[in-house]
Amino acid sequence: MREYRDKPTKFHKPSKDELDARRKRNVAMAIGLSLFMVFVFITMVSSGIIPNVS
Amino acid sequence: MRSNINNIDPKVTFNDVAFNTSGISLARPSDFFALMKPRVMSLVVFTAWAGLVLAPGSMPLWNAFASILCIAAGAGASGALNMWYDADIDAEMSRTKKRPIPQGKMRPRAALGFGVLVSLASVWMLYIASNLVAAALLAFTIFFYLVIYTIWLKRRTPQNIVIGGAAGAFPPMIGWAAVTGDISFNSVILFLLIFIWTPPHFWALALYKTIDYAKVGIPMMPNVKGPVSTRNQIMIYSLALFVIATIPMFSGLAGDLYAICSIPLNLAFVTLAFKVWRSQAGGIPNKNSETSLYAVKSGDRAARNLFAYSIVYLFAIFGVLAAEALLV
Repeated sequence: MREYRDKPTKFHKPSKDELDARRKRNVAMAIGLSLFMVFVFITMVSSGIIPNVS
Repeated sequence: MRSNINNIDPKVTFNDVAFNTSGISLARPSDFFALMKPRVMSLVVFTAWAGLVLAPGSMPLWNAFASILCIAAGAGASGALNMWYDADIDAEMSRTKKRPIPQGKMRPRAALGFGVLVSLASVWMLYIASNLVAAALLAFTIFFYLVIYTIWLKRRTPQNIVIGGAAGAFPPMIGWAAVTGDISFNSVILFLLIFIWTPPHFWALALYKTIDYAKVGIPMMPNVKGPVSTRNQIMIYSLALFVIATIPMFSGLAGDLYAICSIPLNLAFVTLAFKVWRSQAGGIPNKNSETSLYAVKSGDRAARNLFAYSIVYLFAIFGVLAAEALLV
């Protein structure tokens, strides 16, 4: 099936700084979200919302 | 007054800083951290911790740690939301022009999204870690700082920081509520300590940054009522702070250690405020008179000293209160 899309006439190649900043943001977001999940879990266990079976 | 910065074209310059043409943001994780006003956050963390330590009762260590982290994140989120709304004036002021949005590293809407997300996460997490009262207080603090202070009062009245100061005064109350689940007389005293401390702290800064605030049309007290009225009010609030700071000695919140330490701390505060009151701080020097120029410069120095000391004062007062609660 043929797709209809606008041709990217105003495309600008990202600079090294932009790509570097994006990579760092992605890494920070991944670490942040992982830590947040661990943080939520431990807090829920500590608050008794998730029973501590150990 | 507010420019339409949210609909800015990527190729249009924002105060001489061009946005990158590829559309990928240059913002690094450190820029998002800067959005959270880390220096303000440190004061929030410290006072919230003090409130938590001073509150009667106890809570699991992890929950206490999590609560402080949530209060800090909530404070940081309000900082980000403040930078989103104030992006236009931040670009014009020497004190704020190096913030990530005026520098063109990120769009205001990125700060808005970040602020909203962190606000929701921090309030929800505080509810899980402590209780509904603490979470509701944190939500109200974020609302107060963004809507009441930043959007409503800041650009409209010279009483902006007097009323808006309440937002900065809530953290010890939230810390207290995280432990007890209520608001009591002593937690209100902790609130009042910061609430009354805020006007002399910010007006001292405004006295020697008068031009900066005038440039962007923020009605700070020295710009609207003049330096004399501001200096008078600094003196009145400093004396009121002295009175408020003595209440913990009689309300059962503090004991001898606090009494010994707080009196000299308060005397020093009043002395520095008195120096500002007597000075020409914030005045306009007479260009033909060298004496007048030196008088204003010396007055500005006195205001600078009061501003710097006020930060030390708040850390010291809450530090002594917390130390006594931990030691005794």
